[in-house]
Amino acid sequence: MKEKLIKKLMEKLWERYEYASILASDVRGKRYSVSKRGVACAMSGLLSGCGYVIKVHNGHAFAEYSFGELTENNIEEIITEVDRVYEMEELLDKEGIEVVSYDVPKEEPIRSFSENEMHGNPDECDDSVIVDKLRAVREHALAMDERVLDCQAGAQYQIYTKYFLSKSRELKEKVLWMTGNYFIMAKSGEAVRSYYKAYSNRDGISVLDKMEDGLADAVKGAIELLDTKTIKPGEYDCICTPEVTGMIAHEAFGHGVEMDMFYKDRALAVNYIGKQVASELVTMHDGAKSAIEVASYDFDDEGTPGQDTVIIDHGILKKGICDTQSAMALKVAPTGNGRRESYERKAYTRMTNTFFEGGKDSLDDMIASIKYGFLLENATCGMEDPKNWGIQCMVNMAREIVDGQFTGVIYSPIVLSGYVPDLLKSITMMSPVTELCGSGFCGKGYKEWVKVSDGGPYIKARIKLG
Amino acid sequence: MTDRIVKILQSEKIDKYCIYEERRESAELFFVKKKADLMRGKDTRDVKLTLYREFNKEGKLCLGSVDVFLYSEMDDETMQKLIRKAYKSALYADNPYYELPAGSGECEDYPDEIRSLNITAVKMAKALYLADIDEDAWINSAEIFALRNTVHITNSNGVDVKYVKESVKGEFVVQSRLKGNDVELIKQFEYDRPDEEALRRKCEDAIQSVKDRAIAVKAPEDLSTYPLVLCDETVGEFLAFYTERCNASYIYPGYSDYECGKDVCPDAAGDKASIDIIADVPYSSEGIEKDDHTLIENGIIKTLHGNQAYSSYLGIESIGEYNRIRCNNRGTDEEVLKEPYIMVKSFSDFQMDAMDGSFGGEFRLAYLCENGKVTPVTGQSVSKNMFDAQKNMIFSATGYNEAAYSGPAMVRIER
Repeated sequence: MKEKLIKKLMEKLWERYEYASILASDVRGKRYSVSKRGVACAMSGLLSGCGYVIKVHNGHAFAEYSFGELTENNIEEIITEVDRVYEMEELLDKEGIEVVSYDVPKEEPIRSFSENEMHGNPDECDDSVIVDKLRAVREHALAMDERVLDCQAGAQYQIYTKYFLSKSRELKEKVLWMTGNYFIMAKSGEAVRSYYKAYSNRDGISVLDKMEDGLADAVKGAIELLDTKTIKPGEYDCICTPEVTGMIAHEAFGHGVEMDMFYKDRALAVNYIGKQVASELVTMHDGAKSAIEVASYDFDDEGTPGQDTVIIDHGILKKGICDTQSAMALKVAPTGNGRRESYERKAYTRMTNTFFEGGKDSLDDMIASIKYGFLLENATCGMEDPKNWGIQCMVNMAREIVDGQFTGVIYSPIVLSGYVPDLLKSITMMSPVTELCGSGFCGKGYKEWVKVSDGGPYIKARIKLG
Repeated sequence: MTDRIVKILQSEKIDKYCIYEERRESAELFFVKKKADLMRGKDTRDVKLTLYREFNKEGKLCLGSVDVFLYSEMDDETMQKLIRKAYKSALYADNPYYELPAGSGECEDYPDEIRSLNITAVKMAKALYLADIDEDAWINSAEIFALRNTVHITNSNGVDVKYVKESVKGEFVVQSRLKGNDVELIKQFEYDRPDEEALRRKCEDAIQSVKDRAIAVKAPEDLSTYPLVLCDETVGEFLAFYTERCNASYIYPGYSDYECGKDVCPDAAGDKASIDIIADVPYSSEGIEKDDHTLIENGIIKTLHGNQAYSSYLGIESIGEYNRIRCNNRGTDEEVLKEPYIMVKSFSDFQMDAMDGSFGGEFRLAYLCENGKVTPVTGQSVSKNMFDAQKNMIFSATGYNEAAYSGPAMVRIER
């Protein structure tokens, strides 16, 4: 990090603008995969980037400028480019389009420097260590059942250093996360069915040691997907595995409490603060400090400290999560959830580690309590609908349960739908242990990918399936 | 940066490589209601360097490759360290050997006209808001990105090509509170040229749709008995099933059994797909010249696409990878809109799995047509499988034209 040079640039910007801050990022990430397609070992564009984003306020409006290189010789050029962004304000004015006027930001002074412990830094080991582990996982999967067409075994890691500087804040941290995953694929006719399983941590390559644990179940799941039925649409008693619970927490509810959506009048949740939105068994958290997982950090991409936000407390919606600029518009405090896909992108309100707390019921009791219903397993994807709290989540399989026993019949694929509070209020049982996983990336709508984790316990609820 | 990197590669005696250098400039506007909430500019640059290494393993000739991202902020020493480690790692990627794309070594210069990105972003904003004149529905928020990517691709086998690609992308949300129902729809757009008229029309159409969503009633729970009609960009996402399965990276590992001359659906009773793949940029990321190709004609596969490695493994010429589709099928709107049907106008998130053929999702607006009546409906999901759907599909005469997909605006899938 060129901290001296950054300070030199910022001194000039502070003379010129009412407010100026900079986020410098040095982010390196790699992806590995072993499959029938071959062996891939590559730095990833999505996981890597090295550059700066400046945010300024001219006494009236905000503007940002992202750039890749800072030297003694290009400081004046960068300042000219920052000024040039404001050309658009003049052009908009000529077209009769207004710009939102904001107060000048006021920040409490903070200085913080940290580095998470990196026991197994993948950057310091030979790539063969990771590739060989993935090869072994793949070979074991292929040996388990001859109907397995392929096992795509993969791993990713990211190590980032971020440095934030404004007049009152100087923050720096270094973070590592790593994930491992596999798709077990089996073929029936022209169709290829696959079962996905992932693992994540902040300790580096030790995550790969866990991958064998779920391998046999994943192979079994892929084979079971070769013989499935189509479900009759309707509402059923369901038990969700922790990763399906996590998808519901994240997609169905979490996106709805991102407060940039409150500011835009795009979230129904704004009308439900202080009201019951879920069964009183439900307590939901989000925050960079709510768990130690892939989305844990000391400060967000706007220099706000990370927090543990209790969103739902025993069924009552308490508060949302917020980035700095939306918080200014809404006149509330930011919660440390202003995140950028990279230094090249705008910051939005984004989730971090999102989960439901555990309950008191055993999984066996939950299954025994079902007269006719399903165990929903293997979350695949979901989409938010904060305006109307509609659910769109997909899972790979629903295992039929009759009179508290699995029948062995499997339905696939399964679309969850309905109204979010109806589902959350219908939760009657929760298992004790919350399990989190940070296998994927979260988009805002259809873009802006950031690393998140989500999870929860097993839950029992009434859910519309189709 | 390319010159700096070539010098390091020479000093490391690395003789097989591809350098993809990209400069990304943008002007970006973010609107809340009718006001600009944030203005952004961007000028960044990076290099994706692919290192190749030829070696023998257990009697097999291999070509390992590793990607490294290099940034203008890095000094030569950092670059050299990363390159050294990556070149060693190429030995672990024991993939079958193939030849790198070849070029003449002569560099072609930028062919495109250069526009002011700030002016383009503001012009498109003006065009969008020209449609925002309805009392019952309005633009809730919008994002506009005027982009310019300048690309230079060189490799150790004589490829040396450059191009400039300008485009305008974005999304907008429309909202209505008709009949006390507060609802929204999200629309995305992408144009290679700043097409102000197309964006204005798209916004007008979205405003009408969101008013329909506001008055929509709950759809019946089981829609499986109705023929399904897909619309607009979803038709492109539906047909992406074919482009993905025609990709050499699907065929080589056996995930797809497509080959040239194969009939994708011999027992089709309806229209047989005729699809072209369209070049979005003049060169692939490996420097292979891209052009438009016939992918499928009347149900018969004519071309497979893919990168150099997988194309080489299949023994076909590499034409690069493609995502853009033009569908040449044309039927009649009367056939597509024959009662009864459920026409989904807006999905929350349409999903098509090219591996197992499943597609569908929850919809926010659909039109249910039966007994001479069209009813806007909402809040249900549809789920089908392409291996069945392709046996009986009919395309419309009415067309749709955006960067990612052009062709019939509707496709009907019988039960």
